[in-house]
Amino acid sequence: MWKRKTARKHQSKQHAELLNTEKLKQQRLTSSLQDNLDSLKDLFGHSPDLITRPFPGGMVLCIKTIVDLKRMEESVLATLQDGLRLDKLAAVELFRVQDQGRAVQELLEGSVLIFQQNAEEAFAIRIGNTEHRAIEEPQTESVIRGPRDGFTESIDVNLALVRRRLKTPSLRVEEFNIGEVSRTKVQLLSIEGITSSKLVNEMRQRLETIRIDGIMESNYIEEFIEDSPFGLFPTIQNTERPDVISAALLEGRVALLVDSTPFALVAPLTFWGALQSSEDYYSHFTVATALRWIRFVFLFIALLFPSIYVAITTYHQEMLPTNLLLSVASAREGSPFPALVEALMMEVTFEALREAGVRLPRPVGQAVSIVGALVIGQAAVEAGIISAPMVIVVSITGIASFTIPRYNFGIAMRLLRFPIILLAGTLGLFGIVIAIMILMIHLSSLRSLGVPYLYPVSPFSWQGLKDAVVRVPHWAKNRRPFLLQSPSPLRVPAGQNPEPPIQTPQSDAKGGTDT
Amino acid sequence: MTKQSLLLTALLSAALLTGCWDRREINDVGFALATAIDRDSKGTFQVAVQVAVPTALSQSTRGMSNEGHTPVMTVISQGKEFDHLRADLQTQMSRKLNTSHRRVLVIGESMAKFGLHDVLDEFSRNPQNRLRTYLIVARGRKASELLSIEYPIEAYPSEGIREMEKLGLGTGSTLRDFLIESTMPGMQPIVTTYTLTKQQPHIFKIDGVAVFHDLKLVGYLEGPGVQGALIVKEKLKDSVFTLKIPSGGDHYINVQSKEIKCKPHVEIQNGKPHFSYHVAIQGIVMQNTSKLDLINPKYIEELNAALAKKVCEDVQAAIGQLQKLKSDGVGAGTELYRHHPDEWDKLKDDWPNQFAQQQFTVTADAQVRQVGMLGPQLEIPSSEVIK
Repeated sequence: MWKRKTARKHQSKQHAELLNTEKLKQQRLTSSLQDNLDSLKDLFGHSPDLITRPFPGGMVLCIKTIVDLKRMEESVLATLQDGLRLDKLAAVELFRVQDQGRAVQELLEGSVLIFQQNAEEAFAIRIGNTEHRAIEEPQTESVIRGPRDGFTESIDVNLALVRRRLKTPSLRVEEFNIGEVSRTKVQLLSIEGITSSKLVNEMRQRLETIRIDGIMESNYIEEFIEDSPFGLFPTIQNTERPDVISAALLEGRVALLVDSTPFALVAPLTFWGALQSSEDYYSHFTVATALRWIRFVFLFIALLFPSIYVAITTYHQEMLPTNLLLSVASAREGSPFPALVEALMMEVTFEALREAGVRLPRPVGQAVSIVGALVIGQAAVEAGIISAPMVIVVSITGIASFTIPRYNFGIAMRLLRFPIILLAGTLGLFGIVIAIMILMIHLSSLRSLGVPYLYPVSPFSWQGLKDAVVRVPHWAKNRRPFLLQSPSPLRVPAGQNPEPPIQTPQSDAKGGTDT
Repeated sequence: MTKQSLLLTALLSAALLTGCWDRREINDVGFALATAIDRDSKGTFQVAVQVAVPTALSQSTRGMSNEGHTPVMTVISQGKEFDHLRADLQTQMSRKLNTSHRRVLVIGESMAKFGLHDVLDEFSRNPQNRLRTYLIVARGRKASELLSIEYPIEAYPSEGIREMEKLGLGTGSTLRDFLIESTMPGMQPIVTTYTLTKQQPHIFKIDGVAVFHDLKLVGYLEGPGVQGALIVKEKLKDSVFTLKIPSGGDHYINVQSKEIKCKPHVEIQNGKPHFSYHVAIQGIVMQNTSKLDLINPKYIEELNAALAKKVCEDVQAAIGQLQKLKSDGVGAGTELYRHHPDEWDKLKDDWPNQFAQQQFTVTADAQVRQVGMLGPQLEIPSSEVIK
């Protein structure tokens, strides 16, 4: 293992050299305008969208496809008509560029480079076109009550959405450019004074070690910084919702915004966090608690129901009530496959249907679901291929797996179902117990950024349970999660629970005189 | 890494490839629903097992016609030696016989008189057997006759017996109760007896209580004794008492019992045990043929007294009949054993005879709580109503 890792490091070094990023940083701009332009043009391979435009006393260079042409005309070229005068430049972001590496970087960020004759430096004005999709409702985490804005593919918009919610100077944003080729912007968000510096340092370290050619989506990052790369369970949460990110930051967690994807990352994530929806905090706490419990119950159904059906009908018939057993027996009469095969067949079909429904364009997807309902539901039973109870089991399991609010967590549960069905079919309930034990051992060994995955149940914490097993009212959620080691653990001052006003004759009289 | 994966492969192939699982598909198992055990005068045992036929069951539950298609199949095996019969039953079955869903165990009268010593071990040892199987006795008949009839209101006949046992008209004795009662010091089991109705087509009906002693049937309780025994066992539910009260003349008032509590008490007086039972019973009026307006608390008081008297009589009758049979079906000995173990030690060896000589006091506290929707009868003119 150790050998392989060093080999990989060596390779990445070569990779970086290939891209010449380090070397370019060494090359300073020269005093010759033409030399500077030529070497940059060479670097870009004389790309047609790399354009130059002369002005009195110098030359302007930019990539026209990624700059805002209107701004370029109005605020750069118009001002430059009389030569470069820095005090006249109406630019928000103005940088001095002294080496080629920086020049290349600025060009790619959408800057206009202003070269002057006989100057060993250039000025960069960021006027990148900020074209982005409009802010829409998040597709993956819809709520009935709650904010409807979701992240877009533009990291600036995303940061703005978070800033709008956390109006504090303590919001810390650290920027990383990850990917030797893609140079994708990744921003590490935390709140000074709330987030533990250990967490931020750990996340920073993990981000700094990433060597990759390009980042297309935040999952690239996720897989590099996960605590258990081979585990099925997600240890880093992804979300499209700025309110989720903001709430996580307030809890003392850290967030990562990744450019060019609406999915931001939050760490650490616990098992219970994976079962929570943002709406838990926007609906009444009793309702939220009840819904959480429904999710717990259906989590087990999603994981175990087909296995329990297989185990009981093939090994432990004595466990069913007699009437139920006999009706199951009469339904299974004449079905050609053993319960185990039946269960595996139906579950695989169900997963295939779900996948087809997701992947296909929406109108076709509906057709798939209609055919699927007929095939899985009625036809298979009437043709005598599948027994009717199995269809009920599969559909309940399907519904159960959709109650899990985090999609990637639900997928983990769905995949785990298959080995458990196999164990149930070979060892009966004993097999299911073995599966649960293995699962428990695995879950309790998981860490997410150092936080035990099953916290606050194991290790146990009363304060933590207030927001895991139940959802207490906001005025009772006094402390931040203990294991996040926040420097200011106190969150909500105690004693804020609303009470009916004390009605005494005196206070009534006093109230009367006041008004 | 390779070592681990090798181990995993070995474990997986051991689990999946060898096929040495005790998997049995639900349609390879024959579920016994009831068993009838008989013995004829020549000493031949007969075991009849009623097995569910799932296909026929699904047809009958789906509302299709099921003429001549009872959802059960009866398998019969005979032999001199009881122990071999189970193996013999399997030789007639295409599916593995499974007794974990047996609801009812019917003992024929001659078999019950012969004694259940040989039978019970199989039922208590094999883990497949449910201890909650109801145990009943077929009075004056072969047990298999009870299982051979049609009982269309339930999906299969044995379900009918089970539901009747649950109604509280019989003792509701399960195998577990029977085993407890026959091994408890100073107690003997009593179980419900069933017989077939005289009219055609025959169906089974509850016909009293059988009294066992040392696992052998020794006799039956008759008339009020049946009700009395059920009162002492607190098993009676919704039973109707027909009462006369002084103000009502010759007319009857029917009272249905609701809650029954029976508290036994034993104390030693002059070195001899004295047993007393106190029954607390609640009732509601079901029928009033007299002209009385039952709203009047005076009549309710009379009703209470009449009900209490009837209950005492029933219990006394039950105890009297048990004393004649020399079988302690009410568990008086157990009370003595629990509260005065020293006295019990003196009496236990000769308890059947001692039980027959004991004195029992029965008191009752009856409360009629409801008179129904009417005070007097509806159809008699109000001038005739006795307020």
